[in-house]
Amino acid sequence: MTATRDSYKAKDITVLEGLEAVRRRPGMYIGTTGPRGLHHLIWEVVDNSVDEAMAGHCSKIKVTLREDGGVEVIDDGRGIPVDRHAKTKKSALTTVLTTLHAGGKFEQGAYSVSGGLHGVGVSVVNALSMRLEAEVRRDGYLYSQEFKDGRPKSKDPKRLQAVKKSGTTIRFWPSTETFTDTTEFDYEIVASRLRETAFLNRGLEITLLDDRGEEPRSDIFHYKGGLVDFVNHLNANRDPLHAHIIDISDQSDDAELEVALQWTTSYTESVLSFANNINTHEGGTHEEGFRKALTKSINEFARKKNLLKEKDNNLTGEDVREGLTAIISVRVKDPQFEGQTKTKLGNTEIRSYVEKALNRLLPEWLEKYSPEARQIVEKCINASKAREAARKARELTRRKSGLESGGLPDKLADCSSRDPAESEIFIVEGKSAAGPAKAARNSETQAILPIRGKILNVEKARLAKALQNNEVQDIITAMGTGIGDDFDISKARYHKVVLLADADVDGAHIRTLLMTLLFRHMRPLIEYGYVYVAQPPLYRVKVGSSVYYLKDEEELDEFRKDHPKVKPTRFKGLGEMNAGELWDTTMNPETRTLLRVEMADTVLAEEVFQKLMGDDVPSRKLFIQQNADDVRFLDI
Amino acid sequence: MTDEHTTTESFPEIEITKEMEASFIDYAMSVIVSRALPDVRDGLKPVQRRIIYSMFENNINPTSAHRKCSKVV
Repeated sequence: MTATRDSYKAKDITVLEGLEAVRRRPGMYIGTTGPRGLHHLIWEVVDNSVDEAMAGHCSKIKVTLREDGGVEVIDDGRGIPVDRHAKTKKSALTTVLTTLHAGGKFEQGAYSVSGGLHGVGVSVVNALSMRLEAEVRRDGYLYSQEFKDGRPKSKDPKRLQAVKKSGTTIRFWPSTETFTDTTEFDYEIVASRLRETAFLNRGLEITLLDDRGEEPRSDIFHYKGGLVDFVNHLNANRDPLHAHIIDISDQSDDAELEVALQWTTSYTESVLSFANNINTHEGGTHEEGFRKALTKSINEFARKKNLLKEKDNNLTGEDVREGLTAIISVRVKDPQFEGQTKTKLGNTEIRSYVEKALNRLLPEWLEKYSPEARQIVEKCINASKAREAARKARELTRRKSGLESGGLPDKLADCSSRDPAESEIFIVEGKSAAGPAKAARNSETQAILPIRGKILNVEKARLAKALQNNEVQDIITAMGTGIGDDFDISKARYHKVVLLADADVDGAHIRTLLMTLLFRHMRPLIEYGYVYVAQPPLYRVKVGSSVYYLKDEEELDEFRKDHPKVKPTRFKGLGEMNAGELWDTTMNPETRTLLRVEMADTVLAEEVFQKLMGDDVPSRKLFIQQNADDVRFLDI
Repeated sequence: MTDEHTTTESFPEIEITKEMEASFIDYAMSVIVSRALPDVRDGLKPVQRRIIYSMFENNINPTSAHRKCSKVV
């Protein structure tokens, strides 16, 4: 690196160091270097175009996944300025692409609100791309500049032919050095995120084109209804409880608020919040304000209409939100993001703003659509009754046993370490597998929790009912984090939750059930990257005196090429392996392969869980019909 | 987002939706193909056919002596 640095002028060195830092520690800027980080590159570029749209200068964005592995993003905004920047003495375009924390969003003026979550912008994309081309249509001309590994090929953008329309085009090819896992973009993930963006920006038209396959795929996302369309989309596989979607918007000097909500007959709560188009997974002040106002408004309405009698307790937040689908979107001038993944809105003034606005507007809606509001309240009261009944039942069973310890589940074989960062919990299918796992584990850092049979599908069950289920209870108490509103990631007793199910189809089913539990009630575990899938081998083959373990059919076929005569033994379950085998193949940190579960897009995940685990049979049937050919192995 | 101080182990990532879809389709197809559907020839599901067949093999038939079902299973 030093050799190249010499050829640069002194003032350029800081710039190079900036992007160099991104290349060295990409995780700090884009989270991971896996699929999630890779897709982040697209978001970063698209967000810039969306900012133009929010400022009212852009109405169309086109994203193309190119055949050669690159991505092209075209917008019809004003175009990134190309004139010389006073501070860096370089063209503004070059500055934006090569300097961290450069852009028109740090001073107010050019943009009043923007999704400046990352603040590092498109320069990070440049740093992590082996090639990047920028084209700007501005002031009547087309300008173009190319970059290689973050460095501009020419000092300034070249002015080319005259053009009429303005806009920006960015083409980039992700660096294979950074993204070692994969540089292949996933159409579904990109589509889901772009759809989301189109929902949040009413009227903005986003086109997605995939040129990679044999047949090009494309989608156009353009929603005149904004958040209402979003709620409709999310509830496509559910039965809405009432016909009208509550649609509320408000503006103040410093912030804008849009909320859309609808209750469904399901038991799960899907509240998604956004601040300046950024999905705030971890919630934050806007969500808190929303929850408070919602609980208060529903309770007041229920009291007023005498649906809740004087002696009845107030409905809790969880009662009120059962089966609720809601989108909260705020635009804030100076957003502050907190939390480990920087997806929690921290602006305290937003809490009271959202709360006040909704305390005024929600009761208005409830009055106006009184019959529907009554249905909603009745559902909430049912939820409350169910919760109350479940609590009583639970207390009863506890009192019966007479030794309510409040401690850990009996079945858990805990590890001796008290440091969550090094502790792992293996959730193991069945007692037969728990035996070898317990014998094999490193008892200092590895805990084993056997679960019996198939756990409850929490997607279809009311929370109260789910909590009565022993296996569910055990998993929750073993984790120590609590669930739902009370979830506290800092109390997690393990930073690795390893799902270890048999390598058969029932194991696959158990895995989906467990992930549903984690997704629905302990989602931060997934967001923080604490959830892993173990990969026990499917076959054992003996060649002479040496033994090989193969994890799937593919490896077996590969192996057979070299050893055509081998007779593999198929493991029917983990219980068939002895402790040593299990340790070597799946549990020993030195030799195992654990897959970390990542969630690139919450909305997409939400849809998948609804489709696969929810109540709507036709959509699941369709999924099975369409994907029947992708089956990895059939257990016959 | 990993805990840097624990291990130097590296973890390939898997997208949650992909894992869910793959695991689910494996399970669903297997159930459809070899568990849930009765065969058109005899109207039996595989489990039921296995039971009848093992009864046949063990000479349990309407004329033989009474047996408890736990013997069969």
